[in-house]
Amino acid sequence: MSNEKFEKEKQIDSPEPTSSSPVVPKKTGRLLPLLCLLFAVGVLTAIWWISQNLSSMANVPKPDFTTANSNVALATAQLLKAVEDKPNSADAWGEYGEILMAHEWNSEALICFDQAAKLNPKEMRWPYLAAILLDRQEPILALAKYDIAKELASGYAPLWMRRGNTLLGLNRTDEAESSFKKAFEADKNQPFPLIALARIAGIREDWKNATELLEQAKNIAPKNREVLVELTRSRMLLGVNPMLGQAEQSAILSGQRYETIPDEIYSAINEREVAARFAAMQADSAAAKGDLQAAAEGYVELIKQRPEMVRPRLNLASVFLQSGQAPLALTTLKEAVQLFPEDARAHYAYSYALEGSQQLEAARREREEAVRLKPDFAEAHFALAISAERDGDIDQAIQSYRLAIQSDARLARAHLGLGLALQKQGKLEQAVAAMDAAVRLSPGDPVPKGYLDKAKALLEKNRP
Amino acid sequence: MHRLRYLILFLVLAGCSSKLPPGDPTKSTGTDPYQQPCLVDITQLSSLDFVHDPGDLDGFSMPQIMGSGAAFFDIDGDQDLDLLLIGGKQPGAKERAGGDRLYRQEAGGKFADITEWAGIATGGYGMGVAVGDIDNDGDLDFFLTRYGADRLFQNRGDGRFDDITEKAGITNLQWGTAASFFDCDRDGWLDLFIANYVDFYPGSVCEDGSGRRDFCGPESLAGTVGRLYRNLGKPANDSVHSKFEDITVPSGIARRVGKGLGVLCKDFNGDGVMDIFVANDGEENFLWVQYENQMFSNEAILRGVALNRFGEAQANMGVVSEDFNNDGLNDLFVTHLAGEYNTLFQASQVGQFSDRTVAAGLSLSSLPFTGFGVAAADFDHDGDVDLAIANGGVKRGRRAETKDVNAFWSEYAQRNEFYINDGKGGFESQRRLGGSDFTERTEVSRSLIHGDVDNDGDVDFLVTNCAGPARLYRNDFPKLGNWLSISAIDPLLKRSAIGAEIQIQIGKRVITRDLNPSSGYLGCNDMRVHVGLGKAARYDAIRVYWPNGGMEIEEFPGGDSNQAITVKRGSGRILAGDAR
Repeated sequence: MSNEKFEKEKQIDSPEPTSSSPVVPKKTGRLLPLLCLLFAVGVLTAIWWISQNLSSMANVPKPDFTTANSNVALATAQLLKAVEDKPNSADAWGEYGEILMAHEWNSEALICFDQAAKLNPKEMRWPYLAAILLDRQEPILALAKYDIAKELASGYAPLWMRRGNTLLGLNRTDEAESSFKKAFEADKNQPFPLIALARIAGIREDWKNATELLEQAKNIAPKNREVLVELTRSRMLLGVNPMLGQAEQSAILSGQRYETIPDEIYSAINEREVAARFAAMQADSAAAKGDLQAAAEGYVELIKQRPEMVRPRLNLASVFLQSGQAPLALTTLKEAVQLFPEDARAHYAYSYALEGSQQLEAARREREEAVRLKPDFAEAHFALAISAERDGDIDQAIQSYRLAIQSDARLARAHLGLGLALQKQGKLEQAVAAMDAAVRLSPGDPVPKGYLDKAKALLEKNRP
Repeated sequence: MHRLRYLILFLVLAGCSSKLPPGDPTKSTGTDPYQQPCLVDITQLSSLDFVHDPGDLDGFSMPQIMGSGAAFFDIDGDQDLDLLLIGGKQPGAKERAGGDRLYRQEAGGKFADITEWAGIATGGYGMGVAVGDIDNDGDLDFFLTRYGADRLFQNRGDGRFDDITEKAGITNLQWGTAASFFDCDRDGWLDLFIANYVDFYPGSVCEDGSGRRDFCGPESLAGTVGRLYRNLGKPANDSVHSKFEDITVPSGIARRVGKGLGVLCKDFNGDGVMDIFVANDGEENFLWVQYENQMFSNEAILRGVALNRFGEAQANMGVVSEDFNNDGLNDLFVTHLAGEYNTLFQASQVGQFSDRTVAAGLSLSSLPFTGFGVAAADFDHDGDVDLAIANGGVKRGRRAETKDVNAFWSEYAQRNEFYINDGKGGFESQRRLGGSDFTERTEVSRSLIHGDVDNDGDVDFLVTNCAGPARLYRNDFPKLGNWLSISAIDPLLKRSAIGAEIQIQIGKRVITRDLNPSSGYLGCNDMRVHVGLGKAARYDAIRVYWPNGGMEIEEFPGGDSNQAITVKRGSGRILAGDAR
């Protein structure tokens, strides 16, 4: 039956079967190689896929955790495990790369970003972060990565800025200029592309164009220090009045670091950082904002993490003092001095806590210890001078004020203290000189100016 | 098989050619004149046995990674260079003697340690040195910066010294690094500027990105102010010791806090008075421009030397000033951290500079290295200024595969660099220099000082290393031209005219050099001004812009090349200014 059917089907399939007809063998001859080819391709693909994944697995970079901070090691190991669990996940690789980058395991991070980019070639973050890692050491390789990233996210202004700077570093000025123009097209609210374009104009000594670009940048960011400084310089080099207003003068004098274009992708790396310095930064930030509870908790945690560091204990004591918990501050600092007998800062801070609890002699001894350990500890010399004055020992106070000034010439209150102490001894000329230095160092402060005027008047009066 | 034989033969011959003895290598090596060893380590040959001792490294104390300096100067007036090497020793251990050593050059180019005899006893942790004749008595005195109180030593005239720090009124307690003597107020007495670094607390714990212990960097520490001392000369009641007055506050220097590592004093804006450039680590550089009565204003940012071309503050370390592109204007070159390039601030007009590092070919090759010491001199006498740079890391990096340092320092060790100038201010890094020790070794190098140690008319140099030997390199470059060594003396002051600008006229070409021994990183160079003349067999005139008094320019007649000459103030033809 089945044979009959088969024969029928054959007949249906082959309406004109003839003995000479090679239909059946011919059909088999076409299909078999095709099937074999498909099979072979499938096998090869599978082999390639397996080999790729196996090799990826074999290449998961593992930095030396043995000497790393335990928090860093723990957090990094967790993301390493995520990669091992999901070796085909681009995100797992990328996130592992991010934590490695945050803790300066840069070559290991680079491997991860490359692997993440292979697994997800449509994600721009991975070639972008790889480019950032490379551009301080291998700018040509970095440029190739930036070029991949720009195809994936052509509207991301920081990318064009970084790419432009890399090109500028390679002396490819025209291409850099194009890149900065793209950055400006991508975000016209930022002055940074215009500043960079002005810089290129400066390289070409086209100060007119540079000035115009910087004026345009000033319209966007009128208080940006770099804009104000560069505009002043550009005008000077163009030979026109630099028009130094208050804002320009402040900008020139401030010394503040120039801002850079906000870069969310790069900033996210910092959030991965779990080293003690980051915990310290968070606690410091809480303290600066007045969130003393959070700051105290942060410092306590930090002390647990890094018992060998003195600074968290000093900061914790400072938070206790600010929150009116003087006994706790005293205890913390006493412990700090016992644990770190060689640390001048601990003795100095402890001296103030002791002074606050009216233990004046003990406070003075701590200050003496602080300057013994760090002879250029200006603040401690100053505090010793105050102790000496309180004890009525003006000679000692003068000596300590002088040591404070020798340790830090800009300590205006030490100059003033010296002036007042000298005045007490009737050394009016020297007193005036010292007070004059205090006035020079804090020109807007009426206190030293008032003392100086009085001392000058007294000197004039006493002049024969 | 035959091809293999030829290949082996070729390789053998190539190997031999790199070991040719010094001679006229332009003949022996064909087109590349740098195939023979150009810088030969003669430390042992010179009996120099100094090894920098950083002390116990368990605490990763910051001064230990900053290294220390050295000075070439003639302590006893016998016309050859002697050598002061600054030691380390344990930071904070003030009671212990410092590790400074003074070596006198003796017959045959050997150096003898005369530290004890010379009376050089110091405490603290040694950093840098400045040399100058502070009392105008014809011999050279020196000033030492320390992590700890700095010290001033006065020469008795025979190479023995007295510590006159307190008597002179110098009391810098902060961490002094670079220092320079210069005549700030043009009264004939050498004044002193000291760059102070950061406010470092012994026992501070710092770590790298992964939380491993490491040396602290400047970013975690407060800056300090530099110090300016005016030399008042010898007071009426003391005919022996010079007296100094601290004018840091009235001069305006105290207005800015920095993290100074390098200092260079010269007249940057061409107004005839001296200014001060300070290279700050991780912060904007300062250019203190002097106006009247020793009042200074920081104009670095407006004059283009505060930041690099990207508007970034870099980790500025060593600094030199020379005319790199032979346009008659002196440029500035500053060394930097790995990941930053060393920066060439090229003068576009007097007192105005632009970062031209990339165009000069100096950027990419320097990215992997942390540069400290730097010497700019015409090593091959072809008429332009070349660059030697001492490198060494400050943060833990990849362990270098080297036997030059131990395991601890292998994470900081780097090789040095040498650049040849193409005559137009373009530079090419010379990786091998015929197998030269200088570019082949991997150490943690810091200061680099230069001078004609063997008085043969070319510039030799010395490199200091953290926890390693100081290495003296003899210049065996094939010479592509002629040279001149110039001493500029003011007979009334009995000393070299530090701060003088010297112009050498050769036909229409003018070569400009400064007499300024304090440059680079923590070091002090030969007082003599060395000039490569290229093919010129003669020079037509020498003009000296004397640094004191008015804007006095004096011209001296021409002569033959390849000689050491002395020009004395008042013996030439006055072109401008106050005739003595």
